[in-house]
Amino acid sequence: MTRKRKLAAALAVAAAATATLAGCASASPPVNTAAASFGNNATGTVVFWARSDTITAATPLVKEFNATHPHLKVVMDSIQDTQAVTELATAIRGHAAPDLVDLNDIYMPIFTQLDAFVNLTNLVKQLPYAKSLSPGHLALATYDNRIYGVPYLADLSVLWINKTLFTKAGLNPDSPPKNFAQILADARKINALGHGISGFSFAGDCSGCLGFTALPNIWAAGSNVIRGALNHQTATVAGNATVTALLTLYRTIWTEHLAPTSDLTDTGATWGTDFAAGKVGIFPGGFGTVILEVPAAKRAQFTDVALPGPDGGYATFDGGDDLAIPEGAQNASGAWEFMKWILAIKQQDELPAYGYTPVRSDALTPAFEKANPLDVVALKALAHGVAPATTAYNSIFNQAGGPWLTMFDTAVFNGQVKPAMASAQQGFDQLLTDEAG
Amino acid sequence: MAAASTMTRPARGPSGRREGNTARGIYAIVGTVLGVLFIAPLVWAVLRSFQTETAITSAPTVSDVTHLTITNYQQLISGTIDILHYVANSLIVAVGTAILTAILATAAGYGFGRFRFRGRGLIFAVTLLALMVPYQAILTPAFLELNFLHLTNSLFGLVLFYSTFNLPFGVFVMRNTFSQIPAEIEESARVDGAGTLTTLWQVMRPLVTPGIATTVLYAFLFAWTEFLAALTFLTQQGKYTFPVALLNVETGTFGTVDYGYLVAGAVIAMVPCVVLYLTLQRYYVQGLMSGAVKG
Amino acid sequence: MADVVTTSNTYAERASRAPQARHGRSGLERRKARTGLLLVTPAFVFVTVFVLIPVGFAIYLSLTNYPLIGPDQWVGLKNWASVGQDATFVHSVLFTLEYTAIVTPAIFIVGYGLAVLVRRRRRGSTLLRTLFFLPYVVGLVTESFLLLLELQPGSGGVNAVLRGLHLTNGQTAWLVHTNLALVAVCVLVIWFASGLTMVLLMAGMQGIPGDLLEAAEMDGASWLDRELRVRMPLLRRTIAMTLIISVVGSFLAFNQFYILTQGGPGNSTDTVVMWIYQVAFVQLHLGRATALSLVLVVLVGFISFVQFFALREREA
Repeated sequence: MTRKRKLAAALAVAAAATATLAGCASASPPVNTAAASFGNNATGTVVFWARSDTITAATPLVKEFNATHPHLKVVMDSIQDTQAVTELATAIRGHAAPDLVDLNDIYMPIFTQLDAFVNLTNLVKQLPYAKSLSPGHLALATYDNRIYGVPYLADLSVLWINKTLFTKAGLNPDSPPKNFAQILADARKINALGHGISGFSFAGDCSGCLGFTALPNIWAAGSNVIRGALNHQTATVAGNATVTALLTLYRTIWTEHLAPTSDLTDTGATWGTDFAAGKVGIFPGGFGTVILEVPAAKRAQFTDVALPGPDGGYATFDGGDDLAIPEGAQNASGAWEFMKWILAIKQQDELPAYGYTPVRSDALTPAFEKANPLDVVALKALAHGVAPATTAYNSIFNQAGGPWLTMFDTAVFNGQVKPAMASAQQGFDQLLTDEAG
Repeated sequence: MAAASTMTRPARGPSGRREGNTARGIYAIVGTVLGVLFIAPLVWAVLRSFQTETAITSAPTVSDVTHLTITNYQQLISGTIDILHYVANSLIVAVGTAILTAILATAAGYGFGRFRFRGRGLIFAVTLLALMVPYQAILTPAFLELNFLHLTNSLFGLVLFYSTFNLPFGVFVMRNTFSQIPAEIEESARVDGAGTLTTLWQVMRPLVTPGIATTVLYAFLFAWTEFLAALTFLTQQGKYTFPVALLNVETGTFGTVDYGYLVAGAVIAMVPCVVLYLTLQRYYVQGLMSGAVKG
Repeated sequence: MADVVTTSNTYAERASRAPQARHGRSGLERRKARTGLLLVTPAFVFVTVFVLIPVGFAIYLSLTNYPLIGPDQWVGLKNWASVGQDATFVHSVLFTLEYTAIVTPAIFIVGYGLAVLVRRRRRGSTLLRTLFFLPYVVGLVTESFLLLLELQPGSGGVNAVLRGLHLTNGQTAWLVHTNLALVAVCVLVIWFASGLTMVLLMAGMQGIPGDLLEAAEMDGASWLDRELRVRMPLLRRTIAMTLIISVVGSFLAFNQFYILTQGGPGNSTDTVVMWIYQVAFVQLHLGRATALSLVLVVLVGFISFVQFFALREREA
């Protein structure tokens, strides 16, 4: 072959490949959720993509389901959080989607607005316990009044208290702080104990941790940092009195040395270890953060309370996962059967052992209270749970270089609260417009 | 330049005088200091890996050095993290890449170095093109393409990808290696009736081994610690290579973060590279000498 | 096949006979040409599939607003136009250039020094050579993880040493301050890469004929003179290759920054590749990310070309 012909052939191949890759989108076969047999006695396999961050709950659940359902088998694959969205989107695009996906709930809006999941509205509404499902999780799975998924497990944030240290400092352990002023006062008293004891602790270099625990302080006062409908959102940071109060609280804690100096560089790697070791009095964290660090026998010294606003009220961050059936799923019926099973009270009751909270408020029975006393606060707060619905959540709140952490850094560690908020307003707005669908 | 049988020249100056004591003294002092400085962090890391996690995350004390344990390794290997699984994945990828690159580069080097055919210059230029295009820049389209070929989330796909980007260097080295072989050797083999492959294998192999060793070492080291492509193309936990697994240990994806595991994992990671290097060492620099230096 | 039987039958001689066979090559030569082609084809195919096609696809992608799901949306040059306005991208380019400008001379000087130290066969020189190359063998990723640990305030080895030398109070939080983080990464990379530079330079140094150096010494040239005036010019090609590898490698830095700083604080330690990765896989703007990637390819090509041009052999 001559040189020219070879080159032409190579270019032709490249062009053809490019064209094929580009034109890969086409419609998938529709799923009939109205059929009576849908989700009942399904057979075959269910390809299930589980989130690797919550795999400790998924693994035993899948095992249990397979053991009790001889005709339906769930095959589980674990997906890393950072890749989840791209991986799922590419799979849907390439007609290789799984039957069921366990997604970090904050990523749901990305897909629901693209109609990429099966519409489950009628099925969900027909569930006898529909009204008890976590409103925050469900809201994230809903777009334009269509429900595209169900809550799966809740990863909620609370305010942890060390009762032993409270008593030592002369405080009443059954009267935990209910507003910022009390947090400060209590922290000061505990800090005065000395000997390496700190009144407060937080992960100063962990954007996600701070979002998880500090945003509820803002919501508890009825305020927010983002407002507007999906894709038409703006930031409400600059001039927000609640945000100012929050940053001032943390700034005061830092300047008065009420928290360990190592908090400055804690990227979340050792989040909660100092509290679990009994060295910190007050610690905003996840329910799971402490449960997983402290064996059951040693939990008596701790208790938790809902995260308060500056002047009272309470809220929690509706973290956790939702379950959804992607368009193009081969066994949607089997997937729905598995989903219903997971939502049953018996399975939901297993979650606290793994550090998670049930997504049904009707799971709060006297038996539950007895078995999981520390999870009661979280479960009660479920109804007041908020999860920010925005497609830009990851970029704003989960990145080391994002505007949320930058604002926190500048305000709390450098003391420039107002400029930090002004900067954040711009940063938030930029990303909200950028990532509008 | 004849292939030097000794690595370096004896310690004589150009005029043949034995070098003076000052030069030797400087060498001894500077050499020792630098040698220690270079190896110290690695030795320290090994020591660290035998410390408990609390020792690692708190201020250093004397007991840190005297109270050593192997719990980190025990937990990593037999605990939930099961680091050896990921080390195995990395080994598969690294060895696969090394072998595939060696085969492709040797074949291509042989072809470019000892054969003449139309289009040789163009094809050679295109092959070296991969050197000009950093793989980091085509990650997105490569991801989509590999996905189309069902090669994402596959160690095999990673091997193919890595090999491609090690080809330019490998082909370059092998071509130079082959060009240097005197034509008589090839000719006498042909006179004896040997075909192309036999010539390659029996006759040329001992002469080109240094080049192959260089290529293998570079390809292995590249694939062993490559991080970005592995992070992008491998999405399911079972397939992770060890750098990605270490990242998960560091960010706590496997549960609470334990710095002890991180250090022990890093030390485990060091072992194959160092072993391979020490094994190939005598071939390696010779290969560079015959390959990279010539035009 | 009369050719084969002839006794003095070197490749050169046969090749010189080729002009006689003007109308088509001899059977053997055609077969040889075919074999040669066959040998190089696999490598060529790999490069086409994994380099050329993605580049072509990248050009296409950069002209679209490649959404996650749904048909592609053609946006023409919009992504390209926005490159200049992407402040973080521009910053990342400047930062990467700054980083490259710092480490390249440092790696070269240290590497050259190491090469001078161990190029002669003295007692222990082989051991030293191995020690100096070991950091490169262990790899930057592993070493970044180790450094992450040692830079922690209070408990890390780096701070402990500094405290022991009474230089600091041992609480320096290296990784949350831009300049300190940069210093730490630079030191890491210099330690990592000098060994490679050393090996590459040494290989070149072996090829310098001893008589040239002898002549210079006879003329009364000092050691430094001999090094700078005789050796270096002869090492030109090796030095050029070493520098190009070093510069391109530094410009494409990702691993060490991803592990150590994640680009923080803010985006101040984001390298170009890190920012592109963010845009593609976190912000999910695949079209814009590929436009940025192609800009990167052009930049790398330009830098390499400039270096190559500046360091090329000058005709005598």
